[in-house]
Amino acid sequence: MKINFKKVFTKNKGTNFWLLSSTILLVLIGLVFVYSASSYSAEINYGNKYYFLIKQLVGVILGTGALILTSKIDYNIYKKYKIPILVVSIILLALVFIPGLGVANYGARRWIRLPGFTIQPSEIAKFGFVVFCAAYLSKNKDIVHSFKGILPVLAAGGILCVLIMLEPNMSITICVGLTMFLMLFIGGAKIKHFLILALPVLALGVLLIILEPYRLQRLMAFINPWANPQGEGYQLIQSLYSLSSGGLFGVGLFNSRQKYLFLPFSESDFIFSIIGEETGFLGCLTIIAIFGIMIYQCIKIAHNAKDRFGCYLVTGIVSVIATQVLVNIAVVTGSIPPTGVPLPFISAGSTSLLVFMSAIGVVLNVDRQSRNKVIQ
Amino acid sequence: MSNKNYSIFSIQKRLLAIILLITFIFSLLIFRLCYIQIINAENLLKKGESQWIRDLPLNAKRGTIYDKNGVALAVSYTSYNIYVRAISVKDPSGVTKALTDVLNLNYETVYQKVTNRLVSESLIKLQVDSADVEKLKSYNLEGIYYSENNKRYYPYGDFLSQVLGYTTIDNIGQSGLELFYNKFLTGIDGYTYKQTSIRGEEILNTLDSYVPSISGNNLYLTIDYNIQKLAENACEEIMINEKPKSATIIVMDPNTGEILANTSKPSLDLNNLPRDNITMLNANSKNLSLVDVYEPGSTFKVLTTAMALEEGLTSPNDRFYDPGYRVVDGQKIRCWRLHGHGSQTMTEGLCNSCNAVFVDLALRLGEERLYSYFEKFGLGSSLNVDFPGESGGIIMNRETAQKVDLARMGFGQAIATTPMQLINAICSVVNGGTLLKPYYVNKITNSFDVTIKENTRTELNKVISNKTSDTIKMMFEEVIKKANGVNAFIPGYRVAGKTGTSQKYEDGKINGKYVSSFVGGFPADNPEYICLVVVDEPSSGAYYGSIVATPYAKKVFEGIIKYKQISPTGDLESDLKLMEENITMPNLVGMSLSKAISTLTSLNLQYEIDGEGEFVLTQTPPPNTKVRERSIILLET
Repeated sequence: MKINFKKVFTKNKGTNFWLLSSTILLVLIGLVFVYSASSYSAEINYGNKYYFLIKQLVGVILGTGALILTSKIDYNIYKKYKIPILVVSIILLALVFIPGLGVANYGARRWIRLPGFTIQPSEIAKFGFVVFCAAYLSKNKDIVHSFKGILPVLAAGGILCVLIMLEPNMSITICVGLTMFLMLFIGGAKIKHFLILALPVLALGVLLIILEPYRLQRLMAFINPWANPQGEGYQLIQSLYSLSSGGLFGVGLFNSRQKYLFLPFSESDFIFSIIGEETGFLGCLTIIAIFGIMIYQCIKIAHNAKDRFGCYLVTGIVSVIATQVLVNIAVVTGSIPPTGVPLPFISAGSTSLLVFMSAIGVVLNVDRQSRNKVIQ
Repeated sequence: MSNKNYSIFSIQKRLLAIILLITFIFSLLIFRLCYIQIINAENLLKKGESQWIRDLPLNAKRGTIYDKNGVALAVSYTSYNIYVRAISVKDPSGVTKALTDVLNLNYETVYQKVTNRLVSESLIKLQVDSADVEKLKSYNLEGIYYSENNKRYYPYGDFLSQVLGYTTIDNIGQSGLELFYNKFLTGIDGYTYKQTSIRGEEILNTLDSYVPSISGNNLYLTIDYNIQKLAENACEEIMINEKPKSATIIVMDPNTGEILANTSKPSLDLNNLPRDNITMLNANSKNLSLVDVYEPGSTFKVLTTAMALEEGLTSPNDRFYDPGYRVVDGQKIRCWRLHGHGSQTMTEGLCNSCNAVFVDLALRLGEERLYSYFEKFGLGSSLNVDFPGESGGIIMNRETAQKVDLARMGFGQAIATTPMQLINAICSVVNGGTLLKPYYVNKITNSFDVTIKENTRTELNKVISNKTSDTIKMMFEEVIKKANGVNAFIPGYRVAGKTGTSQKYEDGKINGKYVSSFVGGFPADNPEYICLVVVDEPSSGAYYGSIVATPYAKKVFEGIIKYKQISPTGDLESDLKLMEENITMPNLVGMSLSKAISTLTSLNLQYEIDGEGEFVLTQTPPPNTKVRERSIILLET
């Protein structure tokens, strides 16, 4: 089978307009909907309806700075620091368990308190892991065919997953896991290794459900949320009410009713429901289209990368973005068990925004370098 | 090179696979979204609607109950509870100042609440009236919230309480007129449909629909506040002086059937009900006038007289002889006066309240006529007064009634009526002979004070002729002037009346307890006010109706005269002369009863005897006090 990839991945001259503009568009859409979704709850809880908007704006400003910065840094530098980056990621993840530093919220320790703000180490660690994988897989391209060859990746991924799972944060664990598989896949690992790996993962999943039965309840909630509308099913039902009231065209910007405290986390994990309510099915399609453009552009950049590391790095980044978007929308639509994953670039959360924008900067740098290669 | 190509190709292939995978999942999610947002949307929306829209009821105000002249006796008012939601307060000191100025509160305390963001809302004050709320609203400050309450309030508290009745705390009539006229008094609640947040707070800029409430209708009673006040006071005095189990006073207009005053004691404060003491609540909220039955005793003799006169079986000057008893069916029926009244006319018989006379009349009437008159007088079945739970009285089965029973019925025993039945029958006797339906409510007006229902004089039966009525009124007046009704005598006014004292039976035996009563009215020739006083089980010594009931009826009459500014019609001078206290009480203690009686008679004094003995043990009033002619002297033997 011969496919002409030159035709699939047509090259643009100049900077990657589509990637940059889709990023900017998503961030701006995020600002609008963070405000719309949070103004009432912010007024109630913080006495200031701009509370989340201001935080998000800070994230956008920092993120923009970071994007510009990383787009100018030669991405090959990360290759040299793959071990320190991985170690720092692990240390950051471990820090959340230190009393006084770690901040617990909604029954989970996911944040580190720093003067003036909090950061979520798992957001940083997923990209740390991506850098490590990309560097390792590109360097050891000849042994990844063997199981032994992919073991360091599995080990690093395993440590991160366990640490994130301990917070606990099931959804980010899943995202890191999926990212790991996608990276091994692109790195050339054998399909049969995946099947061997799938078994212990499945066993682990069953074990987790036995250890913490609330996960099973959550699972049930997704199958029939109306079985327990005030308990497990509550959030999903509210999300479905949001989406359904949006219909094809939506109830109009800022006119969501579900944001009046009916839908918890409407500005973060469930912001897509509010978008669906206010702008309808067409609005949802638009958001998905923009993400599609972004993902497609990233994969195109990965394909055109001047070296293997660049290719893997971008693939890793796009894996993180894509898995999070897919998991988020799947949760919001009740397609998979509910688990809290923010929608990249849109959901409220400045750490997430800062990290994702930095990642886009890195992708832009890979793109820029591949362009130079072509010009040369 | 070929290896590298393979590798590149592999990456390309795998990237394509990733694209296809992502596209595939996106497609699934888009289908899922399409299903939720378009295909199944209506279904889901139906479920969702109910949580977004709240209908906030606008409680309709319950109608007001007025007396016949427009004095409000039961009102509903709206009060507000005031809250502050600290996070919504923009101007804490302004809000605090407004609240403290209007509500007269301490600045520091309020400021603390206004700025306390740790709680979602703080209560500032309960039960604030609407005027203050309007004032607060005029400040136009953010962060102040009001909740509305409708409360029933009885301006006079313990006043007409059994008649008015009470409501539940949700304003549903529970007893009395509040219950009987509940559907008229209850308004129609309005609604505002509002989109709200999960906490029930209104969402701004949403389209609301507003259905205003309609206030309940108002009742205008037949009760006259001023006469009711007299009755309440008199009843209260009876309770203090005579220490009875209960006391009841009814005042009626005999020409219309209007109930002008109606009270029983003990009663209760309608604004402070013993809701946690059901026994007490039920006992004291019972309208004894309609719910309780009693043997009317001698007051019933007026009715027997009327029947016999109407049937031509007697006349005022008809003569009777009373040896102190009558024997009927082999049973000896005693007159209250041991030694009998001797020979007397019909009128004198009524004045003396001689049982023998009424035994004769009852037997002359016979079972058939007696029972037909009971029915015509509205006895034995309920009068359908506009009041819940009215009793019909107790009349023994016609088939089982023996002659001796009929004889006893003649003087008001062996028959039980409600106080209302008795006074109503008396009214028919003095109003020209027509039995009317008693009623409490004159008219019902809607919230714009337009009359929607009117109760008027309702004739039930023509019982006796005008002529008989006139005759009996004359005799009735004699009772007051000449006999033991004298305690109701008011100089210059023509008062008619009859006392009653009946022994109470318990398991068929006399238990030494009495029901004492008085029924009478004025002016005697054409009565406008009939008053019944029933004192159940007086316990402070005296039990004769003339002593424990009559004086209180007189007080009510005097009060009405003063209130209505009725000028005297009788011969005031001779009446006043009658009232002069120019007789010195002799010492009767130790005398034989017959000697004491003849002494009193020679002095033109009247007497009541307590006990069965032959000698006088005590006398009231004591020797050497000044008394007026025809005063009643109580002798204990």
